[in-house]
Amino acid sequence: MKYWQYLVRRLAGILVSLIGLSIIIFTTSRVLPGNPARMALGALASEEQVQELAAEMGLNKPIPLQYLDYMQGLLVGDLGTSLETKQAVSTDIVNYLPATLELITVSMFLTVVIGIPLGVIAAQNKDGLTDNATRLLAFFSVSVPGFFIAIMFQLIFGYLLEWLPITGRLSAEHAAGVSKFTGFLLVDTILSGNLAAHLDAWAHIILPALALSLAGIGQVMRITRSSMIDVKDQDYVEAERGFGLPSWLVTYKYTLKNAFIPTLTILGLLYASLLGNAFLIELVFTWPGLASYGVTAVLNNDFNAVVGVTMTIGIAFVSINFLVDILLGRVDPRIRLAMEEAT
Amino acid sequence: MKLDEPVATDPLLTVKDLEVGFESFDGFAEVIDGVNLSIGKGEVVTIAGETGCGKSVTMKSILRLLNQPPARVNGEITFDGTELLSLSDSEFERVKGQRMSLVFQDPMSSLNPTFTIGEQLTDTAQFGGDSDTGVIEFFRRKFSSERDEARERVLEMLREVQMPDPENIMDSYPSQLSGGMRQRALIAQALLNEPDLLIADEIGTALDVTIHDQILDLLKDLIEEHDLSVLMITHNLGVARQVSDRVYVMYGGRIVETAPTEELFENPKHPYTQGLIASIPRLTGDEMAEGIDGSIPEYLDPPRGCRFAPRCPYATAECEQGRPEMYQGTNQSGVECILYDETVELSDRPTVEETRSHMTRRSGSLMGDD
Repeated sequence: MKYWQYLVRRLAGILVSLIGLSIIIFTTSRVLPGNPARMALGALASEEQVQELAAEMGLNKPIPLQYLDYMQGLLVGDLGTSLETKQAVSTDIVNYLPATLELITVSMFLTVVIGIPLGVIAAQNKDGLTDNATRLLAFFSVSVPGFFIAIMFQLIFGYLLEWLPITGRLSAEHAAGVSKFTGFLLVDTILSGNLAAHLDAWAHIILPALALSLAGIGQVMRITRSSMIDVKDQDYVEAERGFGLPSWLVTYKYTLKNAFIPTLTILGLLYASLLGNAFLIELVFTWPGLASYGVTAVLNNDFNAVVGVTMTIGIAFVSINFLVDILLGRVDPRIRLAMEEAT
Repeated sequence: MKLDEPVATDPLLTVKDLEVGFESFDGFAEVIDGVNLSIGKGEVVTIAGETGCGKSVTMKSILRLLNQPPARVNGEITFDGTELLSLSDSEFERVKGQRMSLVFQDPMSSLNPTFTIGEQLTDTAQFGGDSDTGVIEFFRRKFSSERDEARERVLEMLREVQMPDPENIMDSYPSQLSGGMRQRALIAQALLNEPDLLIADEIGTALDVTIHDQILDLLKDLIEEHDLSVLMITHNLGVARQVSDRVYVMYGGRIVETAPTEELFENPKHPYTQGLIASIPRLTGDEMAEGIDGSIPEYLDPPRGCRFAPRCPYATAECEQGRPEMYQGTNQSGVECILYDETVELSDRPTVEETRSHMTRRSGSLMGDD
């Protein structure tokens, strides 16, 4: 079996787990106490009106039938209407998702470009000053909650130093100069040719992204450090040093590629936890993202929105892990080859 | 007569009074205790002994592969007139990369699993020994015609080590190769930069017997062709006999006996050497010794005198008094055992047969190794 065949098989598995997820989340949203029709119409509406709306929404049908109706809609991109915003859930998601994805992507980027090099440096100076300093940083970043760090950032960089804005994605004066292409402001500002707005978008995103990524940076740093130390003791690394190859080459090419394998797996999982943690950060920075939309939906029993958001997050999660699988096969030929030899 | 001078004529590598210890939580372990050895130009020398007797530590201290601390290395290591221990790290790297090469013990773990054979070997061919190459220099050279030449050289070397289908092997990963093929790739890698001294740690012992034999034959050919000086490390005396000119027998961090290979096998002197030889399986139907009783000494608190005394069937109280001298036999041989003092009657010295009978008489004894 070729590795791509394995990936196709994985894809089929992913589809099954997504269907499973949809059944669970759909059922849960329907059996939770509270009548969505009543929620939608408010306390003043009469019982008849509520009944009428419930029938219209299909709420009096058996749950399996409701589910089939829902899935039918899903196939054509109809996720129902949000009771809260009175818009199609799909429209809402398209509006809110890019903000969250942008935040998470920048966070992941920071995690990788800060966490991995620090881990490598710590491993190089095992038990030295840098190692202990990064260890302290890692303990701090993992144990202090992200929202607290977020507030501290606002206090220090926004209020005391007045270096960076502390809310929103873009300053009001730039909003007019940016047309919407992708929903990702960092991209849209470039596409609009508005450099000032682009820099302004960075200024807005850097604090929330950093606050969101700190815990991950700590984890990635520690994992990279320990796997670098493991790999450094392997015979092949000793041999490469023995042949007199430049030591930076041995470290950053021959050691890091092997040490990157466990880090990559962690990065995949981290992505999922970022989706969850993003909510608190979005709340602190009034970031108009999917997480805050989703939580509002849960609190208001806005069942279509809940299912829609959960499914979106589920899809993002499995896609990232699928991507990690592809990358693992690329980075570690043993995984790929073992798969190809197994059949 | 005391023999502490190196015995090679025209030595390439000389190790004198090498002492290596390790700091540990339990105290200081004095592992290598005054080792003298030398390798002549074009000579193949073996260090033989049980696992744990200090062979690999000796090799690693020559190649500066021990982390200091916890290790502490003292003594003199001279390579072609240069004193190695006093060199700075970068000076040493240059000497090592350009003139010495090593083949590691385990072919399964000595190739990088995430790079193709071609990538690893071509990098070694192109940058091995050039440890000062910077990043920019590296990429400039990597994308120049020099890379193709290096690749050619790798292919040629793979053919020389009789690697089957070398073009295909270049694009394979180590996990796709058999043990024998990996061993060949490692030997090719070690020879790519035309070293003067090859250090081989337990070469081929991880492979099955027929492959092991092929590898040793190949190694013999290569040694001759490339005019290499070789330091072999092995726990298998059979290997020492097959390829080497001279053998050092090591026990408990000391050289206990040294002799040209033939002499050592015909007339082994030290009870430990005799025990090792008696333990080599034979096809003649003779009773085989089951191995030397006991195990290697505890380095944290080694025996005060001869370190082999606790296991030696001939040990007397005198053996525990102090370290025996190295008594010289012929001009290239010596043995560190008081039974070879001039005052000892010839008939009182042990023979292999005697040692064998001592060993087979005991029951439940431990096999030396192997």
